[in-house]
Amino acid sequence: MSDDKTLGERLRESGLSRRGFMKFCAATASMMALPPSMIPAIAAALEKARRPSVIWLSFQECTGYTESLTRSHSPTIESLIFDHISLDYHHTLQAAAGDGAEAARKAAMKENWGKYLLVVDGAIPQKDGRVYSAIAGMTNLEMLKEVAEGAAAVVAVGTCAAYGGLPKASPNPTGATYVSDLITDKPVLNVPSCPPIPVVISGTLAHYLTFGTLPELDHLGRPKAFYGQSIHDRCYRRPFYERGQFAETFDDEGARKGWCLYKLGCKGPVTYNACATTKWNEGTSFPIQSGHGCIGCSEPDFWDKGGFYEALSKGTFSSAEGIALAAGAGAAIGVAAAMGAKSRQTEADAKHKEDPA
Amino acid sequence: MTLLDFARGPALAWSLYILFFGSLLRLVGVLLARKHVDLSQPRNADTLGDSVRTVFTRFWFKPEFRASTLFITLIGYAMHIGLAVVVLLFVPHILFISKLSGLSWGGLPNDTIMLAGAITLAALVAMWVRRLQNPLMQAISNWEDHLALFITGLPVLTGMMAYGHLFQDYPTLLAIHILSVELLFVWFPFGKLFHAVMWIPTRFKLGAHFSRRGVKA
Amino acid sequence: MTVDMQLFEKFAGMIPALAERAQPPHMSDAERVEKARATFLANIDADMASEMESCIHCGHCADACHYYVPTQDPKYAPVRKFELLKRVYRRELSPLRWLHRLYTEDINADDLRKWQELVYDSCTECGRCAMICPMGINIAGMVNVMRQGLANAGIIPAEMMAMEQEQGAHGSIFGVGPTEMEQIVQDLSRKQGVEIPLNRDRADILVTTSGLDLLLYNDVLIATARIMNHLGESWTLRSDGFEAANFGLLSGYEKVQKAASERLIRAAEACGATTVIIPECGHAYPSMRWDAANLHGRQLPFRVLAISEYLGQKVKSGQLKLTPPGQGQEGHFPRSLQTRPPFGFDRRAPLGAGGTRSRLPRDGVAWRNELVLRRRRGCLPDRYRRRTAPEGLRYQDRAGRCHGRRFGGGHLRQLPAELHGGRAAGAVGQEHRIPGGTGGRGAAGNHALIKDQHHD
Repeated sequence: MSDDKTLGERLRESGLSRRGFMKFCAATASMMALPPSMIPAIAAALEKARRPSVIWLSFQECTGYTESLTRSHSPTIESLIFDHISLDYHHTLQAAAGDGAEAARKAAMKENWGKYLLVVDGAIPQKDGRVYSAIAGMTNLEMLKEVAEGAAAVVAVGTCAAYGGLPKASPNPTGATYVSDLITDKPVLNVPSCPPIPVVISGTLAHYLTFGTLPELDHLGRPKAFYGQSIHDRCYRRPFYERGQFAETFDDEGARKGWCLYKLGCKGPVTYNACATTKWNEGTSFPIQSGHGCIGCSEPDFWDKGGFYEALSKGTFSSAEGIALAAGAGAAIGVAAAMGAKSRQTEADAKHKEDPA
Repeated sequence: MTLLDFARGPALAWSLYILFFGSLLRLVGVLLARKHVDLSQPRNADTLGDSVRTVFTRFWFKPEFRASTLFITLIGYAMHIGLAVVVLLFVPHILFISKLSGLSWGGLPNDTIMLAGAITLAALVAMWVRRLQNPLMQAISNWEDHLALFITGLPVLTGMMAYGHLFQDYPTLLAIHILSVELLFVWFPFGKLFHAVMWIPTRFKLGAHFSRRGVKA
Repeated sequence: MTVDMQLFEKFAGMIPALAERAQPPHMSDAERVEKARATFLANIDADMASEMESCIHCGHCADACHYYVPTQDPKYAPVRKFELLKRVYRRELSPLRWLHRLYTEDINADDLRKWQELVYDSCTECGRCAMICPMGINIAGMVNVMRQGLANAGIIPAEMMAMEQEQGAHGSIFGVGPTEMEQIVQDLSRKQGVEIPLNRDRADILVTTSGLDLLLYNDVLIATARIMNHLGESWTLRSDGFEAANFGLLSGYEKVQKAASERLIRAAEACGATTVIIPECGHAYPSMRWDAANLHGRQLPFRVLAISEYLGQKVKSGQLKLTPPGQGQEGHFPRSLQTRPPFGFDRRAPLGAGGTRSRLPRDGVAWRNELVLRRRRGCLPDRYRRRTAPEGLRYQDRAGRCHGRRFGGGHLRQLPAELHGGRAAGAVGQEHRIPGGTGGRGAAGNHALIKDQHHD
C-alpha cells in the first residue's frame, strides 16, 4: 500500500519538469496567500513529502466530488497530488469490495494510526436509528466515529459533509447532519461547495503536506485562502452592478451583454468561494461567466434560502395572507379602539356638563 | 439558521405583520374618532378642493416664515428626499419592494445612492445636533424624538456599512441592515414616524376646517 | 377719534381691583383634575385626534409665536401649550392608549396651575402656528380646549374670572346692563344729535355693541349709527341683547359663553332680524359667527356679520364710497392702541379690543411690555419686524372674507397688530383705505370719519 517514494520523485516520474513543479509551488503559495519567499520552502517540503495515507468515507452524497475530480481531461498537478496520496479506502474507486474493502480500511487505520487523513464526503443521517445510510452493516455515524478516532485531521469535502448540504435541506427527512457537528475532538477542515473546486483541496493538501498542519480557517471552518472573499467582490460583472445594469431575464439584452445577474437571484454577495478567481475546468469558466447566477453552494443551508432565482434582497417568506390578516386584525382593533374612545367620551360628556362645585 | 436567514425570513415576516397591524390600528382608530358636527353656517359648503390643496400647500412654508424656517426646512427636505432616493431607487430595495407589492421600476447607479445616503445621514445628524443644542428643541424634545432619529438613521448607516463591507463581513452587515429596517417597521406605527401617514389626513382636515370658514390655509 | 383720558385712566385703575372681585370656586385638587379631564375628553374631536397623532416636535410653531419670537424663551413654544390635552388624549383616547399609558404621565392639579400661564397669558390664539405647521395642526384650537378644561377646573386668572362671572351672573360688563345701556344710548343720541333706534320691535339688522364701547369708546357707536342711517337700513340696538363681548369664550367657560350668545339670539329673534352685526372685537365675532349655533343646538335664523365685513360688502356694492388711498389719512389698525400707542400706553392697558391683555401683568404680559419698549427703541429683532409686517397683508382676503379665518377653536382672537391691520384694510378691500383719525379702533372706529367725509 504505501511506498517510500517522495512526492518529488513521484512527480518527476510522471514527467513533470522542475520548472513546472516550481510553478505549481508558486501558484499554491499565492492561492494560500503566502508570501513569495515561502515558495522555496513549499517546494522543499513537497519534494520531501512522504505519501500520506488517506481514508475516504462517502455517506449521504451524490459522488459529485469524485466525479468532478476524476473527470479531468488532462493530467493536472492536482491530479498528480491525488495520485501521490495513498488512497487506502474509497468505496467508489477501490477495486476491492465487501469484506476485502473493509479489511483494507482496518489495515490502513492500524498501520497509520494517528497519522492518516480522514476525508469525508456526504452528510450523516441521525433520524430513526440512523437507518438511512449504512456501509458493511455499520451506520455512517459508527464508521465516522471509528475512523475519526485515529485520524490526524478530518477534511469534510463538499457541502453535504461540511454543512449537511442537500440531505439536510428542509424538511431533512433523514435527520442529516454534518461532520463538525459530530466530530469535535479532531481538527475538522471544511471544503464546501457542490462540488468543490479540485484545486482547493489540492491546495489544502499541499498545505498539509508542507506544514503538517491545516491552513487558517474562517468562522465556518473553511480555509481562508480560498474562501476569504465573496464571489460578488471578485466577480468580473461587478461594474455592471455598480452602474445599475442588470439582466432582467436569462435571454434579454442585458443577459447577452453580460450584465449583473443580481436580479435573477445571484447569491454572489453572500457566497464565499474561489470560483470567480480560480474558476473551473482549468480556469475556463464559472457559473456566472456562463450566464447563471451563483446559487451560493459553499454556504450552509444554501438550499433553503428562498429560491435560487429570487433576488438576495427579497425576503424569504411570502405571506400575503399573513399581512392581510395582520392588517385586518389591526383595522378591527382600530374600530374597537375608536368605539372604546367614544364611550369614554360619552362618560366624560356627562361629567363635563355638571355644574362646577 | 444564520443571522441573515433570520433577518430575511421570520424577522421580516413578523416586522411586516406588526407594521401593518399597528398602522391599520392607529389609522382606523384615529379616522373613526368622534366627529364634531358644526351647526354654524359655512362660508364654503364645498371644502373638498381647498382641503386637497392644503395637503399640498403645506409642503412649503409661507414667505413670511422664511427667515426662521428656511434652513431647517431645507435640512428636512435633504433628509426626506435622500431617504426616498435610497429607499426607492436602490435596485436591491426595488426588488425587495416588488416582492411585497408586485410593483417594479428602474433604479439608479450605486454611487448616486451612496451620495444620497450620505446626504440623508448628514441631514439626520444636523437635525439631531439641532435637537440637542437648540434650547427650544431641547425644551420640546422627548426620548421618542431621539429614538425616531436613531431608528431612521440606523438603516441608512448600516446599509452604507454593508455596501462598503466596513468592520464585518457582508452577510453579517446585510443581516444587521435588514434587522435595522425591521426595527423601523416595528416602531413605525407606534411613534411619531407615523407622521409619514398622518400628514395627509391632518392637512386635509385643517384645509377643510379653514375652508369652511373661508380662510386660505 | 378721541378718547377721554380721564375715563381711560379710571378704567386702567379698575383692573387691579378686578381680581379681588373674583369668586374662585372651592374645589379639591382631585375634582379639578377630573373636571379638566372630562372637559378635555368631551371636546376632543376627530380633527384634534388626527392632529395629536401627527405632531413631530419640529418646533416650527415657535417661530410663528408672538410670545416666543421676541423672548426666545422655549417655554412659549406653542407645541407645549396643549401638552396636558395631549397627555389626556394619549392616555385615554388614542388607539394606542394601551401603549402610551406605559410612558405618558397623567395630569395633576399642579400641571393645570402651571399651564394657566401658558394658555391664558402666553397665547392669544392668533393661529399663526397653524399657518406654519407642516403637519397642519391647529394648535390654537387645542389651546382653546385647554382653556375650557382649566375654566371648568376653576383655574382661570382672577381678573378674567371676575369678568366672566359678572357677565355670567348679570349679563353685564363693567356694570353696563340693560338699564345703563338704555341710559347711555339715549344720552349719546341726544348729545350727538344722531338718531339711534333703540329696542325696536321689528328691524332687519340687529346691531350689537359692548359695555366698553358704551363707556369709553362711544364715538364708535355714534359712527356706526351714522353709517347705518346713511345707508338707510332698518336697524336697531336692543337692551335685551347688546353685549357682543363674550368672556365665556375668552376664559373658556362654556356656560357663560352660551348664556351670552343666547341673549343676542333671543334679541335678534324678538325683532325678526335677518342680520346681526358684531362690533370690532376679537372674540365677539367668532363666538357668534361660529360657536353660537353649536352651543344653541340648532342653526341660527340670521346671518352674523362683523361690522368691517358688513362695511366691506357695502363698499363693494357701491353703497358706501370711500376716498382712494393717498387722500386723507391712513386708517389705523385696531391693535395699534396696544402696540403702537400714541399716548404712553402701558401694560395695564385695559380693554383694547380684546381679552387677555385686559389683565394684570403676569409673565405672559411682561413680554408684551418688553415688546412695546423694544419697538419704541426701534430695536426689535430684525426677523420679527420683517416677518410681521407683510403678514397682515398676506392674510387679507376679499372684503369680509378675512373674518372667516378661524384662529383657534373657532375664535378669531387677538391677532397681532399687523394681522388686525390686514383685517381692517381687508374689510374694505385693498384698493381703499379708510381715512381715519389717530388711534381709532379699526373699521368701526373710523366710521365717523367716513361719514364726515361723505358729508363734506
